[in-house]
Amino acid sequence: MVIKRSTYIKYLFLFLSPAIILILIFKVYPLVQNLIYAIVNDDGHLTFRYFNETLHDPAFWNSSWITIKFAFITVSLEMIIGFIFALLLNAKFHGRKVMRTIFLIPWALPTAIMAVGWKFLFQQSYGPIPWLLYWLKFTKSPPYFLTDPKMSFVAIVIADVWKTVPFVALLILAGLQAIPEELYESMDIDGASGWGKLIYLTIPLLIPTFIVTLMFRFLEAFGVFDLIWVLTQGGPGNATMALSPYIYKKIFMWMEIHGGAATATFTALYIIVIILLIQYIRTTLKRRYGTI
Amino acid sequence: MKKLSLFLLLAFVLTLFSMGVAFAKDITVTLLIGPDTTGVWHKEVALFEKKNPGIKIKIIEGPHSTNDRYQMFVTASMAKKSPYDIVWADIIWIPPLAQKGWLLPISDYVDVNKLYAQNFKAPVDGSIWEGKVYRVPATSDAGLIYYRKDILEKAGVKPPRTFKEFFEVAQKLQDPKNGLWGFVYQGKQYEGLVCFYLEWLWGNGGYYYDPVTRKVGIDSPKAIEATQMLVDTIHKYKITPPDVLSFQEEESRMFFESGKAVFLRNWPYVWILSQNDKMSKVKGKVGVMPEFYAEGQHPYATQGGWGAAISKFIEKDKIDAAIKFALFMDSYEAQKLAFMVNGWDVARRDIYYDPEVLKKNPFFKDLRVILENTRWRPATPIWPKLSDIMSRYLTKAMTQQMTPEEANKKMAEEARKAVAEFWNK
Repeated sequence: MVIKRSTYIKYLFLFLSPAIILILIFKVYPLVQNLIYAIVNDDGHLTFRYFNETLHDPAFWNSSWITIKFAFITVSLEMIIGFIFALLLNAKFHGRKVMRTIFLIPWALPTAIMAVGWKFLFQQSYGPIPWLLYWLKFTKSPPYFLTDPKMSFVAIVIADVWKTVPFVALLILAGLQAIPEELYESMDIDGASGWGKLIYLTIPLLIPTFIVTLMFRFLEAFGVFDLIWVLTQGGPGNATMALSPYIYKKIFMWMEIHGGAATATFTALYIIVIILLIQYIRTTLKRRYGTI
Repeated sequence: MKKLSLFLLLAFVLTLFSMGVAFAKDITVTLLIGPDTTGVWHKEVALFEKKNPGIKIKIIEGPHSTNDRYQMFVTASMAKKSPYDIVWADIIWIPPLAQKGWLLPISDYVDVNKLYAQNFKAPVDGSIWEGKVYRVPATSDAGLIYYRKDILEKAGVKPPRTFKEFFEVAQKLQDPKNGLWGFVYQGKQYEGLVCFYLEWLWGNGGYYYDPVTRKVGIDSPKAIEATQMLVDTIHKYKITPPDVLSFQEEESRMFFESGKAVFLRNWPYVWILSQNDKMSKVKGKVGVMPEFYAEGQHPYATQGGWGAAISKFIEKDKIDAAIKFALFMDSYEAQKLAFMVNGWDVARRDIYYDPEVLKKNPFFKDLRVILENTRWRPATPIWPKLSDIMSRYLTKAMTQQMTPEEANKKMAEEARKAVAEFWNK
C-alpha cells in the first residue's frame, strides 16, 4: 500500500503528538517561564538587572567553580574506573551474568536513598569509613568527612563515583560487545599483544561510546543536586555548594525568584557550552576516524 | 437485561450522590506539621473533632527538618495553591511569608488583646507583621543550658554564670579521653546554630541586625569576640567535639542523654525527655539554667515557638473552620493536653501555674520567668537570607577556613548588601 506523503506527515504528527505535548509542558514551558522570571521584574518591566547582579555575585562564581571541579573530577574518575570494570565484565568467566546484575545495584538505587546511606557511612562519631581509616592507621583520628570543607568535597565525589561507575561501565560494555570478534582474531594472527589490542583496536572503536557517555555524564554532573542536598546541603560554609543547590536555596529559601532564575539561565549556558564542546571534539575525531 | 443495567446505573449514581451529600456536610481542613512521634497531634485533632462536629482535620506529617517544611509551604504558595490550609508555623516564618502575601491576615477573626492577655508577650509579638495578626501562637521556646547536676556536685562547683566561669568549669570537669565532653550545642550550619550563637552574641553585648534602624552590627569587636568564643569551644578550650558541626537539636540531646557531655544548650522540650526517655542515662541528674553571659551583661534566650497560621489560598468556606482549630490549639484544654503528652512549653501563661503541670514538671516554675525575658531573632522578611549568611560564615570560622574577624566582617558585608538590595528595589 502506498501512503500519500501528506497523509504520512499527518500521521507522523499524530503519533508524535503525545511526546511533543509532554515536552512542551514539562521542558519548553518551564524554560520559557524561567527566562521570563530572569528578565522581567515584579512590575512587569524588561530588565537585565538580575543578570548583572548574578555576574557580580561572588557566590555564583564560587558555585560555578565547584560545579566545574565536581563535573571534571567525577566524570574523569567514572570514565576510567567504568572502563576498567567494563573490560572486566566483558571477560568470559563463570557467573558473569550474576556479577553484571549485582554491579548495577548502585545505579538502580534512588540517589536520595543512597545518599542517606553514605551520610551514615561518613558520619564521624559512628560511621564505619572514618573509623576504618583510623583503625587501619591511615589517619591519626577518625576524619571528619562531612564537616571539613575539603573532605566534604571528597565525600560527594566518592559517593557520586560509586553510584555512577556502573552506568558508565554499562554503556561502555554495550560498546565493547558491538566490536566484532573477527577483528581481535585478525590482530591475534598478526601477533598483537593484549596491550596493543587495547590501544589500537578497542579504544579507537569505543570512541563513539565514550562521547555519548561523556555527554550523558557531563549533563548530569552539571545539574547535580540531590546527592549534595542530602549529604551536605552545600556546606560546610559553601564548600560543596554547586549551582543547582545554590539556585534552589536562592529561590525556595530566600525567595529571590528573579535572581535564582537568572542564575539558572547561566547554568543552562554552561551546559550548552559543554554540549558544543563535545560536538566539536566529535567532528574533529570524525575527520580522523571516519564515521562516528 | 437493559432495564436491569439501567437500574444498576441509577442505583450507582444515587449512591454516589448521597455520598457526595454526606461528604459535603463535613468541611475538611488540612494541617501541615512535623512527624507526630508521640501521637500528640492525633489526640488533639480527635478532641477538636469531637467538640466541633462537621469539621475534619486532615493531618499531613511533613519532614522533621523545619527548613524543609518551610520550603514545602513556599513551593505550594508560589503556585498559589493551598494543599496545607493550616501550617504549623515557626515564629520566624511570619515576616517573610506575610510580606509575600501568602498568609491570611486573621485580625478580623481573633481578638489581639485576648491573645496578649492569655499568652506570653513574645510569641504574640512574633505573630504580628505590619500591624496584622497572622498566627495564633501555641508554644513558646527559649534557649536554655542543661547541666549534669551530679558531676558538678561531685566536683563541688556551683553552676557557672559568666562565659569565663563556664569555660573554666567545662574544661575542668570534662574528660574527652573517656568520652565525657564539656559542652554540646546545635553546631550544624542551619537555623539552630544561629539561635544559639545569637544568645552568646547578645550576652556579650553585640547585635546582628536591627530591623527598625536597618543597621547591621555584626562586625563590632563584641560580636567578633562572641564568634571567637564559639570557635574556641572546639579549637582552644576543646570542650566540644568537632562532630558538633553535624549536630541539630536531636543529635545534641542524644549526646547529652547518653551521658557524654556536662553542658548542653537546647530548647525546653529536652527536660521531660531526659527524665522519661528509656534510653536516657541522666535521669535525675540534670539541672537547668539560663544562658551564660559576659561580665556586666545579662543572659539572653532566643525566642522560638510555633503556632497555627493559615494559607492565603485557602477556600473561603474553610476559613472559619481553620480559625476555630487555630484558636483551639491555644485553648487551656489543648495546651494542657499537649503538655501532658509531649511536654510542650506552651504559650499560655496559666498552664505554668497549673498544679498538675507543676507536679509533672517542677522546672516550669523557672521556665515561666525565662520565657518572660526572651529576645527574638530580627523580625524581617529577609531573615531567611540573613540567617543563612550567619550560619555559613559561622561554619567557616568553626572549621577554621576564616578567622572570627574575617567571618564577621564578611557576614556584615553580605548582610548589608542583602538589606540594601531588599529595601532599594
